[in-house]
Amino acid sequence: MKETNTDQKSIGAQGHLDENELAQYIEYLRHETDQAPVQLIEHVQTCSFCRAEVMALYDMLDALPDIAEEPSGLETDYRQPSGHRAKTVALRIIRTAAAVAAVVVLSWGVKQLVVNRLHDNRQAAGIKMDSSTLVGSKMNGQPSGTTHGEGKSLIPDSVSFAAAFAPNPGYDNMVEAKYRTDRNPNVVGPGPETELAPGDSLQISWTPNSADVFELVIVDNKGNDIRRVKLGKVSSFSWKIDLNPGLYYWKFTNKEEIWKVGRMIIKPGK
Amino acid sequence: MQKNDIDIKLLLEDTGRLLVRYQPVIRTIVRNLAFQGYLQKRDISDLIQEVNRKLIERLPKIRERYNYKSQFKTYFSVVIRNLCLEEFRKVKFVAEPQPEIYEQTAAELTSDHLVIVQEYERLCRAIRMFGNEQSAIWIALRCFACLQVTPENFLGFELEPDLDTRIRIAGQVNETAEMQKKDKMEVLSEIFTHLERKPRTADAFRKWSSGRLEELVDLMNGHPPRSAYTVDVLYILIEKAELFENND
Repeated sequence: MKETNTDQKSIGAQGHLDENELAQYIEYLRHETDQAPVQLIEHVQTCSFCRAEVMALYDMLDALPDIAEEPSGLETDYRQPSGHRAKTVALRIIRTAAAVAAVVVLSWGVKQLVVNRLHDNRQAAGIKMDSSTLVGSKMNGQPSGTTHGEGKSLIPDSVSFAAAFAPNPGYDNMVEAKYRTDRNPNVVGPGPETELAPGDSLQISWTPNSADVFELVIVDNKGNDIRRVKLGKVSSFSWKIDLNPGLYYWKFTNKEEIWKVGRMIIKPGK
Repeated sequence: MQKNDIDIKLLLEDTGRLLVRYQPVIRTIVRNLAFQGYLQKRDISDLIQEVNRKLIERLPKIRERYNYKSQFKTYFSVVIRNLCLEEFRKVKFVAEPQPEIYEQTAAELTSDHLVIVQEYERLCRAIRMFGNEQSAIWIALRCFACLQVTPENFLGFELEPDLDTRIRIAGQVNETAEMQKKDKMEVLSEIFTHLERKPRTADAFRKWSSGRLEELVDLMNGHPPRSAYTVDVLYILIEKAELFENND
């Protein structure tokens, strides 16, 4: 059983790992120590609170910068002898050069992976960057609607796998927002929990206004513009989804303001 | 002198310099937590100042409490993070569009391959925390994800089955690939009853596996959430990670 150090600050309620124990357990998990006290391992095995703490701390530690090898600009009594210092400086130069070389090689390798992946994505999605995938039914019968940003990649390369589904609080607030009623084009679109699959259609309709030029903007959950469509003299819009899995928002706007924001989840396919 | 030795020397002799040395760490922790909490960016420098002020006050106690059983950087990072959380509870959060919120998540991730490898490592780490239940969790995950299990997956149980038994059991689990989930649970509950030497009904197994999977999703998403995993996305992550591993 875990021995609680009652004279030390606990992370949460009594009976959880304190700061020393968390540090010790995390180093065990990172293989920086060969073993941790059995009571720590057994406690984490049975305590979901401490598991969550460990996970959060581990993620945080992964993101931390290295501490400088020597304190910089300090007069200390542990200044190394000059010969040793010269060797340290030389080693630092070599390490820096090696790090730069490694970054160059890694960047080249990543670039190759990304280029191939983009190429595969485009082929897999059967992307046609033209207006044939967009259909609008117009008041006077003439189709209209063009795509913008042709040749633009569908998603930013830097989207994390599951972070593509994380809600954007700013846009979520806008989905719930009420808009003023005068000149409101009464936009109707899919509900906020709509789940679509690649190949499904996004359908939006509204009351057209000859004085207004409307635009539909699709953004990802990080607010990056994915697609912009000038809607012209139409009253509805249908678009066959060709997006990668993730959470997206659509904005129905004119020149001056946003009239409606919608939300849709593109499900992952297998 | 090793980095840890320097830290400890400064902790004992010159806490001011220790704090200077750890400024990059403090800034990173405050920024990471601030972004997760949707804090206004302009408040971050105020927070860093406040955290530094508190650390100066508390360093004598921190020095007293540190038990030298871990690297000082690890321990001190935990302390800084907890101190930040104390401060954040006092600050009112403002939910406004903050496009820079996600810059931390997206930073340096330039390939899906690397992301999936990193996320898979996080998943392995999360499962490792379950100690004796690791093997059972992996088998359940792979079975529900319709992925093959191997005889090696059946090591680490109370009963140490021999190779022939492990091959046979792995075959049994792999035959459930086309079955409904509830039928898979029946098969797994029988196998685990045998391996763990304690009876486990299908219902008990269902409750256990649901609980564990939900917690894994929770751990992967973090608090506040940095991702939006579901159980299905976990299955896809494992499948993709193994695909990359097999192609390497």
